[in-house]
Amino acid sequence: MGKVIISGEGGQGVRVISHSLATLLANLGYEVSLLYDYDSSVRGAMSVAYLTFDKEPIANPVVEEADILLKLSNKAEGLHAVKTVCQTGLCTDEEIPFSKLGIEKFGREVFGNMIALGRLMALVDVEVSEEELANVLPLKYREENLSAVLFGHHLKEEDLERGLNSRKRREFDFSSKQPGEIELEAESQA
Amino acid sequence: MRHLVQGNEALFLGALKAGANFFAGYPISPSTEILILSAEQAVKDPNFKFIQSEDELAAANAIIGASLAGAKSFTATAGPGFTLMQEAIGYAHEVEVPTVFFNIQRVGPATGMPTMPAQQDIVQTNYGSSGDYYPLAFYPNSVAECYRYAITAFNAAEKSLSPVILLSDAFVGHLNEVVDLDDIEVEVVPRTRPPLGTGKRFFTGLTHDDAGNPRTADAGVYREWLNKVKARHEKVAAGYSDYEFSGNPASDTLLISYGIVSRVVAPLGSTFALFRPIRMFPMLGDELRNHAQGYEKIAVIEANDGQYACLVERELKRDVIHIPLLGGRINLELAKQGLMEKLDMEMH
Amino acid sequence: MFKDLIKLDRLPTSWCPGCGLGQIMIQLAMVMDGLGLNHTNSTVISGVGCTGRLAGYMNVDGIYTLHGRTLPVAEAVKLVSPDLKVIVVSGDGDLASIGGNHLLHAARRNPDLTVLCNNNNVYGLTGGQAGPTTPRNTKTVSTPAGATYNPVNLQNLMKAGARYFYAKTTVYHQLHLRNCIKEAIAWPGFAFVDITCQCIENNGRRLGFNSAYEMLQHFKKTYRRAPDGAETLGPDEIGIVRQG
Repeated sequence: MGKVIISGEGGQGVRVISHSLATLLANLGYEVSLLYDYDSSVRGAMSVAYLTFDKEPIANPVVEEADILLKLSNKAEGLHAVKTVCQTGLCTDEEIPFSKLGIEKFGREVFGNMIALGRLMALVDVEVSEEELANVLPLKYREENLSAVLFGHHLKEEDLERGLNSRKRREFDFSSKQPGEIELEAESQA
Repeated sequence: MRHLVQGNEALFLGALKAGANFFAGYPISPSTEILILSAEQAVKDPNFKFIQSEDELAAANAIIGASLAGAKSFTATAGPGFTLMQEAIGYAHEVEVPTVFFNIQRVGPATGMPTMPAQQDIVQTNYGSSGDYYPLAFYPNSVAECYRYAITAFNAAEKSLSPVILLSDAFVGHLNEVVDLDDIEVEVVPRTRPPLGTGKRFFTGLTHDDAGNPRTADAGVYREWLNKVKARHEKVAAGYSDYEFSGNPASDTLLISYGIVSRVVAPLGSTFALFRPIRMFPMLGDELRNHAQGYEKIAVIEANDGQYACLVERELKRDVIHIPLLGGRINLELAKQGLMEKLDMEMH
Repeated sequence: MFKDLIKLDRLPTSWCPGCGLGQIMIQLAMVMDGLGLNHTNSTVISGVGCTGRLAGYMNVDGIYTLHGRTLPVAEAVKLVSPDLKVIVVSGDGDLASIGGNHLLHAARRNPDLTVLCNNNNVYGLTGGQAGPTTPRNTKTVSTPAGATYNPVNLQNLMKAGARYFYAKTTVYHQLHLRNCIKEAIAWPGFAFVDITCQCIENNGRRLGFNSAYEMLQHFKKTYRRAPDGAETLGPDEIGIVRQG
């Protein structure tokens, strides 16, 4: 049984990330339950998804102690997990600058959501073909989203240790899928 | 085919399966998905009629009109919207109109917490309108059950000639589970009463006799009508003795829960005997009495301040311990805390 | 200082970046400040929806009513406290759909209320369903093939009686908006200010706008001032018509 919590605020893609992952897992033959818990606001307020997957039907869809928590904002309280992956500054476990990467690699902050999905897939150990992956992503910006997910999926442990701020090497070839001209800063000042 | 389906979506698909072809409603969290799916259906299928009403009063009355005109009609609402619809629900009971109300419960009262799950409309479901009437109501706890019981609600409406309430909550409504809806078989009861434009009937909200004539000063006519309707509803309800029970000889406590709370406490089957009503009204009196016999303590854990607990107490004529889960926070940890406190026991 | 009228410690608001409600609130606060209106002599009553949250951000006694019920509540408040300036701020759905019946009768009874209608053509908070002022043929989540009905004609509804005050303005035309609010407050009767406002997240994007800025530019291009002394405002005209 795997339990994942995705936590963010309205507008950060909690629904898209969790629904895409849930669909992938369902397509792989798992029993899946995906539950949304969110506040009454279009943007900016708490938005949490509880995702459980197992071979057997799931009794309780409300996750308490998760295996993995993806934290994109600080809007929800009392969420616990064995491992936490978060936007920089929101935890002490594994910090990834999703927003920054979204802008720098793909031109828009919002692609950081897809990078997060990719990372989540790697942690949950989901292996799917690119086609299967593309099919669960939103139609709009599908190519860019796919690239971003793959980028997140291939983030290596050493990248995270060293910190993704130093970007002296380009390991990933996205030349066929870049949405436009993207200049990487030689050295980010962050 | 197995795929991920949302609770509210399953309610809508169940309605379609039951032959529903009319929806009127008003956007209100957490039921709005059903309105949107209905709007889209109307574009796909010209035989499916859709109105986004100006308010819930209009929506509830619209589905009654639609039903009298021959359609299988339904609406979906929540919280204060359900309260607005009470007048029309009473009307549908008086006029004997088959129709279905989906109520996806949220924290109240009034505007409350629009996106947070609750079970605060239990008493309102049974007593919300003026007058004496005997509603049928069901409350699924999974996506598969949302589909099944949506169809059941339409069937029960046809058999009882009344507005059936299908309860859900913000969590069950927004829960996605892997289901194969083709595997769920429920026979559909067809509409038998001829629609408007075929006879000389009078459908009135005034007390009336079998011919439809208003009889506003005849207690005998009223009592006859009430007994007829009551008997009919009881008979229909007897055909839907829907509940789940798992005994536990090692325990002295029968724990009753329903809807999303029953999912959350499901892992406690090793500690308690569990009873889950699916038909909420009429009360499962005999079934409760039968299963409660072997247990010293009866407890109801629910996301309200004791609404079902009070009704169980009255039904069993025994003390019932009540464990509330309030404010939209529903999880096993909080459930255990409440249980330990109210039952004075240790749990791990 | 108009900022004194706003609960600064509650900012940032829950409204989306780019929402026009912030502008409406500021203009209202500026007008109130200029007229010496504050918590000792005025109240703001708002309905349900994104607009409804406005009263909660202002430093005056305020009421967040049930959906659609601002007018019955406001009329009663004014009847009990005639010296209190009662300002109603509500959305098009709240005022003209579920509140439609009340709008009809409040306009008829002509109580001294100032009504600011945040008219964004959509039910924003619930995700973008069509509303009573949604133009015909508009695609929304509840009208996927385009809205099939004509919108409510708020101007005609307001002008049905012998006495009326109807102002049409937009969030882009800030000074005009401020002036409309000022004149509406000064009007000794039922004054309705119809404010065209942008809802970028749950309406604008679907219509093809990429940003709130683009929507505001659209308002700028679309609307022009009605000629002085006009008795009726044309379909894309901003201005004030009044009688009585």
